[in-house]
Amino acid sequence: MTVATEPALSPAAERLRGRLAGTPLAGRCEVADRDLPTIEVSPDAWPSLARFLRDDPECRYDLFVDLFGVDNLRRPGQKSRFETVVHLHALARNEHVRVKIPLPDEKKPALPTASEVYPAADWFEREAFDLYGFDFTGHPNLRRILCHDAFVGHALRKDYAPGQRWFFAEEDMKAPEWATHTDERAGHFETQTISIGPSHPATHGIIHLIARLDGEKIIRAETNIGYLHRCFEKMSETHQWNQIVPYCDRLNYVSAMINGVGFVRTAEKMLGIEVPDRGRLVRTILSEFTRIMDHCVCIGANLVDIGALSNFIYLYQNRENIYDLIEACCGARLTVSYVRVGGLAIDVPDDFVPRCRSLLESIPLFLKDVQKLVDNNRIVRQRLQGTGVVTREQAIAWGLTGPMLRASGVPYDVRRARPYDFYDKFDWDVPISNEGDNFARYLVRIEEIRQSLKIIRQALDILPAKGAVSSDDWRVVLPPKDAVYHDMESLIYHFKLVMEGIRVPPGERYEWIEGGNGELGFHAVSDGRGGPYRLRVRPPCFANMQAFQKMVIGGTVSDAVATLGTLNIIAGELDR
Amino acid sequence: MSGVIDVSARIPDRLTFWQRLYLPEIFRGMAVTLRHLVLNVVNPRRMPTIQYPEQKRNYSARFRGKHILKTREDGTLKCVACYMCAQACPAECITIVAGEHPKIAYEKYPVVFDIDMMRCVFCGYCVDACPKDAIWMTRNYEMAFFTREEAVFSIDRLRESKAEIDAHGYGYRPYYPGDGTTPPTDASRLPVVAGSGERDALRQAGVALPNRHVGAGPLNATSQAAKFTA
Amino acid sequence: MSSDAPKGTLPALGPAKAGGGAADFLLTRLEEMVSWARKNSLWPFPFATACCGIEFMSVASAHYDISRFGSEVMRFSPRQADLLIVAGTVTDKMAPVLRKIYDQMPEPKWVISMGVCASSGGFYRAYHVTQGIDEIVPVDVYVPGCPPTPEELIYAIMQLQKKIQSGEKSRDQRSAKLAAERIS
Repeated sequence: MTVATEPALSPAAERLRGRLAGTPLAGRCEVADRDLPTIEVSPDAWPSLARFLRDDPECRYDLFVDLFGVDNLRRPGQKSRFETVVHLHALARNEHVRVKIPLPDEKKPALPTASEVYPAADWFEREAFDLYGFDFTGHPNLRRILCHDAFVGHALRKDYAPGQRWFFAEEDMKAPEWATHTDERAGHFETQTISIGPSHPATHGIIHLIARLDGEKIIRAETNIGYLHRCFEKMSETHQWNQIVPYCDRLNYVSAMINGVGFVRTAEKMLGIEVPDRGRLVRTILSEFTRIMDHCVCIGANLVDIGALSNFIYLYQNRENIYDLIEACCGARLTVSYVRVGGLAIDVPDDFVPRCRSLLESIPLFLKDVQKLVDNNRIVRQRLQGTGVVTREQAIAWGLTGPMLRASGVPYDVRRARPYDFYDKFDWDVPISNEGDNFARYLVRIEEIRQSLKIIRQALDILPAKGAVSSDDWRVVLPPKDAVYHDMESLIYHFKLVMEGIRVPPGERYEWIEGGNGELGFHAVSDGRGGPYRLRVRPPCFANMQAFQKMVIGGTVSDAVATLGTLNIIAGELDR
Repeated sequence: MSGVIDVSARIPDRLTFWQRLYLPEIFRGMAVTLRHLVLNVVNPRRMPTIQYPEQKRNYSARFRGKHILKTREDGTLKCVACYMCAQACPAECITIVAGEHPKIAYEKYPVVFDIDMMRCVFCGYCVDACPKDAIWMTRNYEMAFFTREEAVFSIDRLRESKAEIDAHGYGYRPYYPGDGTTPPTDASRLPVVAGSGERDALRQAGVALPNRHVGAGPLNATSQAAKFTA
Repeated sequence: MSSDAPKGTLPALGPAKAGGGAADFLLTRLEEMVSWARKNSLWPFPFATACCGIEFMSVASAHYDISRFGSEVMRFSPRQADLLIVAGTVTDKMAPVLRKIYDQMPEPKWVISMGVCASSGGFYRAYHVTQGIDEIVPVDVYVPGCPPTPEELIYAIMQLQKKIQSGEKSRDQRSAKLAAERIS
């Protein structure tokens, strides 16, 4: 990409350039200013750059956000066919940075691993290996993570056909070496291996945990994921921008609305269009309601796992009541397909505000019941307190976000750190806890439900009574039906939009919001066609799940079940 | 904007003696559940349970259920087989084969219009895409199939029928009563074009008529299926 | 439902045949009673993988309360279940697991494929998604919807109950035949 006139750098990019100037890295990487400060670096200099970015006192990009590949086969004019993109976050300054690593060797794309610097990079690198075939030299456990073991080829490469499947049989399943062999020298005397999942009531969704037990204590564990890998990213490359919204709903299906909002925000920023206030407020209100549903399911299911059934039924009634509202807005209970690039599919019904207000009345009643049953119950306390502890340092190193990170004492909430829509106008608190155990995560979620109610109340107060919910740019938003039926020009716009899709200008952009489980980001690359060239979703569950196999060490299996519940793993988002 | 609150600081870390005794807390918990039971028995309307199938949940007018193809006043389908719904469908579950209608005002008509209910994700994009007000959705969700073949709905089962609408009602549609949209003019009411309006008769009389694209659409499910075979 | 079904479908379901003698009469009545008992105590194994699993939770919770149909006893061991409800997308990685669970279930057993992902792959025409669980296990009732509403699943369970009352045990053998025809 060539820039005719070099615009002034943002303060963040300026600082990076200044800090890098004095180091040996100076000649090997260049800083540019895109939607994020972007550093381009050669593969061999990447680990030292990562170390520098983490440790330099003025940079301190301590939270590892994302790592993924891009295949530029059908996007001419790029430096190399393959590139790796990394996103990092500095918690102290609330800044993101992007590192781009073009891989010169097209036949055998390889780069050194960064998992020693950022432990969170482990699974992300395995994913890039799985889907792109990047060889991360020095990675301790580089094997497939999402696709099954009998898979041939690398699915997200552009020359891989979207529908090419491979047969997978039971014999092809591979267990790790340490699980199949007992080595007495390694202290495996009188230990046993158990396998939990992939179909097990405690593994919400489908994950597979292999654990080696010494008596009752877990001494080694490994989680297998990918049992719900539905190829979201490949599917989004074969569809138009608006057609991806239904796929987004099925990422984190417990809070479907938030995913859609996150995705269309990326497209809207690339297009540079504005959504009217009313549309954005409706999105905010419904997003917060879905966040409440998300937390309700998480808490309810977690309590069922540890043996408390009534809470689930009370919390689920909340959900059903919210379903009523959502169904009245968009026509479906769970998978809403309500947002569109540029606004909403349709305006909310007339009785939207009173319905919201009555929900605001009823939800706290159920919460009160649940808290009465749970908060001072000795069994719940014993199961949750002091189990699954994550310290502040561990949480940052493992790349956790969302309620997980906040329960470990880091007040990072995207709604506060980088307010989007109207979150800076509302009066609300970020709940945190310094305990870092399962009980702290339960308390944080309960408090977040209350804070969400607070946000909804304020949003309803400033919601304009009338007005458009969508942009009136007909190159992006379908014209009103009245015009389509009777006006030739509108019909042409309608036709162009349906048949060709939205023409998003070429370029790339990363936008992130606070999902139910943490930072939910969408990185889109457009080449000007009607659909994205590459769409990467940064799933918060993926990083959270990665920490699970480390969190359970030293605890019992029953602790692992309680911990898995508070992680709130949504398989659709974890495996995509 | 506001601050940060520590939720653990608010709740005592250790339980009191009474709480550790466990039994008092059990009874407190029992009281909560028992209250629900008693209230439900005293006031059955408070109970959330919907006695399906006798009693049905009141879904909104926007519910996205089974599709219907709208008809003109003379009973022909409003659909002109323009393939827009097939193109907008993310699941590619709509198969259309177009034919040339003898009446000029009707342009084309669908010879085949199949919706594969086993692929459809009920997103409503077909309704949004239709420029002719020809496809709506109903509130009919009562579908279950014994085989995959019977899940492919053809025109016979998609055509709007009064019985179905009376039983279930309209669902998601392009416009709702009272939102100010004027439906497109019914083509059966349009004035007859140039002579009889019959395409063949006009052609025989030497009138130059454009040839419509008939046959399978550019992007229908069959051509997609060829692309995506495993 | 079966009247306008296209050809290739299975024969229509009818009541169990009436017998001739007294012993036959008694046995038929017994058979009917067994069917009646079976259909009203379907113990499901919820093979909930994805979004449909969340709607399945709705069916089990207060608003829909599946126990009104005698199916509230969720069994997470296949050996204790007689109805396999596959709720959600099944990927190629999960397929052997599903088959194993099905094989572990004792006869008589039935399978409901809930949602379009399980039934046909839905809109995931993709490299890692099984295009319908009937590639792996025989299916008795398919439920469309993405995800189906809870009523839709209850409706499907009611259809299955009718089918059980008619005396049909499982679709396994007939499906195997159909599958063999499809491959050749």
